[in-house]
Amino acid sequence: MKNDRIAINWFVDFDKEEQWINEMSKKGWRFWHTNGVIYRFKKCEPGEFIYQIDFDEKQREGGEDYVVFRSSCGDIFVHQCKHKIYWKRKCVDGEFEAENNVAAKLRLTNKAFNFHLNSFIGLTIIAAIAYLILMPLGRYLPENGVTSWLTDFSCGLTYGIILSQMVIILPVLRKLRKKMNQMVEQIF
Amino acid sequence: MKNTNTALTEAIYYILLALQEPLHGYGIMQKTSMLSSGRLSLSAGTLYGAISNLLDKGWIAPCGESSDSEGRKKMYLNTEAGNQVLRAEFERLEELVDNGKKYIKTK
Repeated sequence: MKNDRIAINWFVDFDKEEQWINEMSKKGWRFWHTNGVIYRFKKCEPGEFIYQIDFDEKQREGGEDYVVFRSSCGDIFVHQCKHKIYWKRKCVDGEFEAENNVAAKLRLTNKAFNFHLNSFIGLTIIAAIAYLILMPLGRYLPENGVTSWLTDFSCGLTYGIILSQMVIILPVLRKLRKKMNQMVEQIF
Repeated sequence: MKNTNTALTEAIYYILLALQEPLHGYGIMQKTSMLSSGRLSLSAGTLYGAISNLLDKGWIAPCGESSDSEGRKKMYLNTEAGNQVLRAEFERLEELVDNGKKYIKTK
């Protein structure tokens, strides 16, 4: 019987990620590691643990480290991936207290939004260079194998970038903006 | 000394109420839950943020460390400013209750 399981997944919404990890736990797979795409699980009793995703807090000068602080409050530290911290608790110890850490969640969502926006802008610049410089170069230079390859390459690159922006990046940006608006409404 | 005339949140009021004696983070969670008869259940994230704010305002201060099997934990205690804010809030709440008793019309 296999005791380890690897699953590939990618989440924009950390609430959905938390829900998925908890569903895996209900099926008897306890989460223990991720790099943001590959999730590792080990066998456990179905529903033995509940999980919560939390975000690292800026340590005040002379203050306590957040992970140390929260660990001392009885929660079990599982893993940290960048600013995201995964906590677990035995089901028998009861539900997590309602987490009201909206400001930290908003900071992380804003960071993710800026990252995707920068990717969008960077890709647009690359597509513009390909379409406005490389493609005309390939067309107007004396025809040979290299110029014809340059035309095909720049054409493919431009359409590839536009397609990935439409299919992946724009929906992600829309989702993140919607989530940020919801959180701002919660705060004010 | 920084003071305030604005109302405290329920969580801050209970934390100041609990920190009239030295307590660490988990101790504060237990005490606030006990004082509110289990109604107020602070999460560690909320408490961490609240402690940072209260330290910045100078209403609480670290007062040593406790060590047990789980490691060393920082202890906190109200400062004089914190106790004054707590008393001022208590008086404000008392006034609210008194006025409620006097002026709320019973059917």
